Amino acid sequence: MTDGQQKSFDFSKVEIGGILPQRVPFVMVSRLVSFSYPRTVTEFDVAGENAFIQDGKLLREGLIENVAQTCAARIGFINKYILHKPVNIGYVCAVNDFRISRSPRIGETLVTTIDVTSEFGTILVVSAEVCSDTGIIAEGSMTIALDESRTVEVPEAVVKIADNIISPLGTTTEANYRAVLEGRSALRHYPATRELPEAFFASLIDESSLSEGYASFGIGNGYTRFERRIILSVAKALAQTDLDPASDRVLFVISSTKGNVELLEDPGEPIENERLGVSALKIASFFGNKVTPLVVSNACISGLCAQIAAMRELTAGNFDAAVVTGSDVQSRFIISGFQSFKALSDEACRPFDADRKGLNLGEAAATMIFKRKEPSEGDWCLLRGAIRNDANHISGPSRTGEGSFRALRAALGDFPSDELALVSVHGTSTAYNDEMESIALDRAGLVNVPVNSLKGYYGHTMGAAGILESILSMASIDDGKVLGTRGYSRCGVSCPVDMSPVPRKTDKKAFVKLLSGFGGCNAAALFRKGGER
Amino acid sequence: MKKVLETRLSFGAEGAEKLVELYRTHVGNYPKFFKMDPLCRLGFVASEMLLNQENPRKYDCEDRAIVLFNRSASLADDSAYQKTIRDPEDYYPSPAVFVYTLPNIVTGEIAIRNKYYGESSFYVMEERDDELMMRTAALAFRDPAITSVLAGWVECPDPEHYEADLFILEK
Repeated sequence: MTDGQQKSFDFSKVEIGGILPQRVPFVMVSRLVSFSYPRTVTEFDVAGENAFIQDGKLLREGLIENVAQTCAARIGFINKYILHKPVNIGYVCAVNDFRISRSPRIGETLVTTIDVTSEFGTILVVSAEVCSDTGIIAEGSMTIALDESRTVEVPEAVVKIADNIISPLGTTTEANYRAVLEGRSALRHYPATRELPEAFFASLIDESSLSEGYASFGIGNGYTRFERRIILSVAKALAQTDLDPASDRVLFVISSTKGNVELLEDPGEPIENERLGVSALKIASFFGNKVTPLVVSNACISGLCAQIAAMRELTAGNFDAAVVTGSDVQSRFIISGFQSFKALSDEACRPFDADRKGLNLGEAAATMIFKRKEPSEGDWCLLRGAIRNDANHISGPSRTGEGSFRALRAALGDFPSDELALVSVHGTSTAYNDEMESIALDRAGLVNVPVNSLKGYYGHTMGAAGILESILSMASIDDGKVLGTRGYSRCGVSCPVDMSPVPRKTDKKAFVKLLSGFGGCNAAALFRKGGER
Repeated sequence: MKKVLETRLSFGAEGAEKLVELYRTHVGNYPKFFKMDPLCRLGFVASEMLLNQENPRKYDCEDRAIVLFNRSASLADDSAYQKTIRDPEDYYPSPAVFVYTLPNIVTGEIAIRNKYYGESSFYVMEERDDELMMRTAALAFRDPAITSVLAGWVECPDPEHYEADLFILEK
């Protein structure tokens, strides 16, 4: 971080709990005001619930702790934002000439400035000044030793703070969850046309059903339908938070396999409008965000890859929050391609069923907003995720479920499978995919865990799938349920799994999301409510 | 984290022929090469030239990730596929062309060739930004199983223009 970056850095976005090892009521610093290598300034709102309060006043110990924690905030800031390391524990070795003119009262705000007099190795010597409205309250010098062998595990996790699903079944997560719980599906027959000479079954969004939503968020005509759907979904998710999407501490992660590919139909369309990077910049700038968005295009696993990338950026301390959003729009390009593969079913798909005939394509936009914070009991946390390749074939799944098995093994780690409410599989309903997944689940020791696929409600929503299916898994567990697999009746895979066409009860608080895609890629992620482990 | 090996290729014209020449000189004996679309040919040849420098060359492992980036995704092959469906009177959607209309297929081709079972990821960025590319490729090290990453830029907007800049990152 250069001096210029330090000056322009928005310190109001630094959560003090993320850079200090102390916890309430021992936290004696409320905010980091500014940081430079020689000088750090913090503020502290003296409150009744703080430790070291007696008769409405902060004791001498509290003032010394306030100076020590200002030093800790300096070290924590350097570690987290500059070195991207965990926060270390420090010890006060000496306090010299510490003079206190009066004890601050509850309700006062103290401004504490430390100037580094010398720093050698892990020893830091500072001169400190604590001021209030009335002037200097305390001053002196302090020596701090940093214990680099002991890093503090700041109890933070990657927490989902908001979500949204835009689909033919509704434009909120709640509406979508209710529809799926009731067994409704938007899959329907589309007859052959001159442009698409073969009929197909799909779940498509009626664009006019979204016009009210577009108008209410001021989403104008300068966007393609792919971009508008994503913007609407993100806007609806953001509306549930107090997050400032324009902050440079917020990253947009966008998942799509084909974005605006339908624009290729019009030879007069400028080619840059087809590029995903251009769409991503338009989406981020709609929200005033100037950070270069991450655009994941990893075939059908993109929605899970986007979440994993966001989790890694947040745990690395590169950002405080991430808006993860994904969508694909079905067009002649994609439908004709899947038809040429003979991969589409001419009826509503039947995941894992003996009579499955292939997949259905679907449209949705889905968004999850993640924040790095200390999780509360009801918070959903993304604990781990892994991406693995089959190293076998670019369009056929591995016969041994190699990549999915390895992704599951890495995402689960030592997490006990009996704590899983469900595994939300890809379950596209193609003969090979479902068979491959059953083998991977068997190898990963997950055959006794309830399994479901949501493709019978939505079809394969491609870039949205990983996000949409994770959101609905969370909503169902919040409701004490495992959603049913619409279309499933008789097991049609060689390693039988615990699947049901109707919803079941659960009291468990964790699940795994699994996806696989062309290019031999597979992804698995482990989510848990409450976030320990 | 350090960059240990690098390969650069850049063809402003007649790139398709030059790639075949490079394939014959540096690789050979992999007929699947001729089935590949332009982006995969580029990534495949560049990765072979990169990995030929590795001693011993890594093979059959789960600890190496492949993380590639470009600007135009699979546009070269998308345009080729679009031609097969453009005219309803002359409509012949080809599965062999359609399968390459995803940018991450190139990561799959490299994984298959080298039996890399580790992570494979593809990101698109409008302006090539080497710093962002390094930061994003290094995210793969957040997976504790990954010890090295084959990463870099593979851009092919049409069948004649190619730009690859691949490298190996070690933890």
